[in-house]
Amino acid sequence: MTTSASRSGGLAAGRAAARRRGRFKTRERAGLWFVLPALVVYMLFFGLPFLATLWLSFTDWGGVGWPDWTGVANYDRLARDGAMWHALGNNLIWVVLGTAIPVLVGLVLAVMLWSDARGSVAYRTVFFLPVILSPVVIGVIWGWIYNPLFGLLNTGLRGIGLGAWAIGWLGEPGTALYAVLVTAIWSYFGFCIVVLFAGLQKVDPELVDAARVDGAGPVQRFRSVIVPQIAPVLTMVTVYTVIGGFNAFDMVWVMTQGGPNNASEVIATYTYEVAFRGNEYGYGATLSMVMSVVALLAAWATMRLRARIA
Amino acid sequence: MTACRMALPGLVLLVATPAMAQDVTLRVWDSFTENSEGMDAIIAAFEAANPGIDVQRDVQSTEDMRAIIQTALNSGTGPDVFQYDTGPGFAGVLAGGGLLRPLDDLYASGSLDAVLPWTKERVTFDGKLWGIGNQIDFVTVYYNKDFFEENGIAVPQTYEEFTAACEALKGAGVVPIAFGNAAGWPAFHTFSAFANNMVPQDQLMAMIGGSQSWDDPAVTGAIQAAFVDLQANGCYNPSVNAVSYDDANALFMAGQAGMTLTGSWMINTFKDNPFETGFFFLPAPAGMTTMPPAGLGGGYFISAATEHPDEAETFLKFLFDPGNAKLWVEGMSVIPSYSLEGTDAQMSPLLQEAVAALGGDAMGVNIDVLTPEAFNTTMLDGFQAVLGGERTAEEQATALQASVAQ
Repeated sequence: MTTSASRSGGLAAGRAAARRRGRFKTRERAGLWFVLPALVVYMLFFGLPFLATLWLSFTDWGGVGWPDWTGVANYDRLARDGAMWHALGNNLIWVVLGTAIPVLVGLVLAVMLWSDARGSVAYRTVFFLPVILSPVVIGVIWGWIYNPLFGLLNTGLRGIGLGAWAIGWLGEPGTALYAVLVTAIWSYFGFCIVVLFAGLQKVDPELVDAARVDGAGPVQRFRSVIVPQIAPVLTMVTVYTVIGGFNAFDMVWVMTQGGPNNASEVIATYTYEVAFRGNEYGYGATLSMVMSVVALLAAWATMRLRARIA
Repeated sequence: MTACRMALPGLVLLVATPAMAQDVTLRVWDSFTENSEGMDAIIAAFEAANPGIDVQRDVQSTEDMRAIIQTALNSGTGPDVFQYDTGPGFAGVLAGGGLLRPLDDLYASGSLDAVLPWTKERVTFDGKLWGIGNQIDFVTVYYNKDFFEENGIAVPQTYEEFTAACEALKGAGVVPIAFGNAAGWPAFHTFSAFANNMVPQDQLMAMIGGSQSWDDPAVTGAIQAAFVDLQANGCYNPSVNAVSYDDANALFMAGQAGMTLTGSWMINTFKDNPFETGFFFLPAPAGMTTMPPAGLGGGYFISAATEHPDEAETFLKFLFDPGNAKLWVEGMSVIPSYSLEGTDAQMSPLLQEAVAALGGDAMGVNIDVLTPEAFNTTMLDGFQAVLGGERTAEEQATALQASVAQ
């Protein structure tokens, strides 16, 4: 009896589990239908181009006719391509300075604005204004500022007796990259401020007050109380900026086109030149893959580092 | 029923009439950004003469055109007719890829008999004619006649007089030669002007053809004179690599520079300068012949994928009909690729000079339109490096040859 009861109980449980599985499958299927449109769009505009680029990176293609399969020849060339390594080096400079400066400045300014600073809204608006401008417009305007013939910067330097410093900022190999980078930082740090300011809204003021009561100074409160509470937002902004640094293109292209003599070349402008000026679409695809892999690795490393510090 | 039968043909006519009268839309791309209104006028005249054809024109900068034309033609969304660079590195690539429609039959029909025969060479690849060369250009030195007169400077006949003119202008407190090489390609024209004058023409053509080396003392001399010596002597404005081509032209047009070296495509802009503008060909050093670089500014081509080949050919016949020379010359200050003898077109004095100059002495070649992309890239980066003091003239000559070998 007991045996039969347990058997029937087991059967019932089995049937219930089967029903649950069936319901789950039905729900799963329905869910699949819901995500299908987004999945199709994603595959069409990201998945397929990515796979096509990956395939092209193993070919030699001049843009017309059918690509010739060359195996790993492009990757072999990549290893010996001095111009690529130079561009990648510039990207590293861009990523380090172009991430550290706007994120740090943004963080400090966001905390200052969060601490009941007068005119907080006005300051946030002013700081955010460059973000809404097109990078092309910013590049053109800063190009005028740097112009050696009539630019504001050199005119100002001459005006205060520093005429010897008035140089062609975008035409000198030693200054071109940094001049563009200053422009990029100026146009971007407002974004960091606004995002970090939003993250600061979740910081518990009581914890900050408690730390103050316990004798913690402003730096200690900032480092040990505020920053840990906005760590996820800080990580997101940093990763986003790092990835953006490896994809830097528009500002460089508008202001220097990677010149003079490749001094401000970054991997994206080099890729563009190789693919569209040199008609080497296969090798251009290889460079694109490098750009993607390096950006992903850098983002992953940043997140790991952040997790370890936290 | 009878009424229906009677109405039916009328209905068919009503439906069919708009379809039959529907215009063919011809998509045309060109790079006439600076004299765009003149090209609009040419197209308006064409549409008026060909009521069944509607031209949809898109203007692309030369750089954009180079970046997108291949993709556009490949995808089948490109133009029916387009203006593009001639030469093996540009139109030759498209012809080799089967993206162009051959025009041998159009030439054979006699419709293009007026087109200058030498222009055909620049659009012939693998024995077939793929386009029609257009816009004869040359590289020259424009000068501010007022400055020259005020400072007692005669138009230079020798290279020594040219450098003396630089010194005189410098002494007068103006920039002797406006030069903006931020984009890199303006140096192509400077190099062409110097190389044609300092390298014997047959040797230069052999270098372009690949049978002689660019790593040659004559080439080094041309690079040295153009990008090292003139700069060291203060003949150019400061920070050449940081000044754009447009800003250099603006410097000249504003009367802040005495000369500028660029192409005849600037005639349309410089004719309106607030001072009297003239031009002279860069004189060759003693013992050499002055050979101003000249060639085609571009050419017209028909896409292999066009659905309207007849209309496209009609459009080209119109563009290259000497009867329409007035539209090119007056509206665009462009010298077409056929003789202007007998035309009643009113030309600006500067354009008259240009037309007369083309009928004169022997002309050299625009090097960059005849050389492959790798060579041009080495010119682009390398001349910036020479101007920036990062590379010597000799190293650049070696690099040019290395790019050919590559």
